[in-house]
Amino acid sequence: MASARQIAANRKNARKSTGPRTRAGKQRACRNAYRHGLTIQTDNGESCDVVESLVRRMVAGSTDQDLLHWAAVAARAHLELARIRQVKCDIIGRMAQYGALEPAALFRARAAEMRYLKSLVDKPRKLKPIAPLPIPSEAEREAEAVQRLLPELRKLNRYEARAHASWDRALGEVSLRVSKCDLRLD
Amino acid sequence: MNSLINDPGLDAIYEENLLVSESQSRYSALRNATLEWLKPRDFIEQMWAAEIIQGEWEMLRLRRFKSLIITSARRPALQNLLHLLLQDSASKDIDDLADRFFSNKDVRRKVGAILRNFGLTEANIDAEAFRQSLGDLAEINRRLDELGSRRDRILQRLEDHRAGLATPPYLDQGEGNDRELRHQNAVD
Repeated sequence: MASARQIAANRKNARKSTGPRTRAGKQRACRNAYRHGLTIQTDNGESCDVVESLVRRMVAGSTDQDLLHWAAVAARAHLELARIRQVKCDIIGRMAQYGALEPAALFRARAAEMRYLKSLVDKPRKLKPIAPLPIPSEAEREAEAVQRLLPELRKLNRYEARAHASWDRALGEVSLRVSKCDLRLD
Repeated sequence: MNSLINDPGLDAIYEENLLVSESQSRYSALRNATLEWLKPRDFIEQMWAAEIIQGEWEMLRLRRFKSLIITSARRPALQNLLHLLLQDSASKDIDDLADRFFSNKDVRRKVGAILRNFGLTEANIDAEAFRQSLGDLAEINRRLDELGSRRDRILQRLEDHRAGLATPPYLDQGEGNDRELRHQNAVD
């Protein structure tokens, strides 16, 4: 528990901090809560067109408002799932490519590295260039990236589970209504 | 686009998300085999089929990663084993042995002899690597379970849809999806 003196000092210090002042600082701070953008609404023109096209395919010709509603929910959830999967692939790819992986090793053993460095000191001469050891394959880098990203992927999986639940329910409703109407759609 | 998906309108639902190391042809093979097996009859079935394909591909990906994660844990596993066995040796020498084990035949023989002295074999390196990766593997296994349950649920829906037996989703779907969400929240 902070003492009264510490609390007073904290308050005094806090008054000095008034947040970002410059336009650039404010611009940056306004994106503080932004992580991966999965919660933003994506009702842009392009996705509306795709949703509309999916709905048309699901319930071709039907004017049942319930059916149209659930088909639209299913279509939007389908696009949401695709978006989340794309984000997952992107972050795995990014981590595999630019992640904090160790640089390619130049020596097979520490002793060899020591010998090399010693020879540089003892006998300054032109040495053969060192070829790096084989770097890990793309699959190995991706596996390492996934291992490092597991906590982040867990969060994405939670988003995905929600989108999937919505998609599953909506498509189930569509199926039910289509069955009822005996409306087999192509 | 493969022959089974000759309708450009289906592009949107069969969109593929591949990693750099993943093969386009293997994905197409999985998609074709699944479509051949399910033979979707209408657009709703196409959407279910697409979701099954996505899930199956992710399961294949995760299984591949599981074996790669164990493989990459072999070096630290050997280091750990040697530290336990050769407590008197310098840490630097042990790390050196572990580093060279995978690239130098002589060192491999030497380490093999050390392991044998303690009644161990190279299989123990794999076992130790597995032990060290257990946390990550458990996480991946949980995801595999979720994906498996989803696939089974979708297949059930597809069967009911074909038989004209579709039930209101609030009567049955809640269970699986809610369990999945509850599980996700519990893990977090």
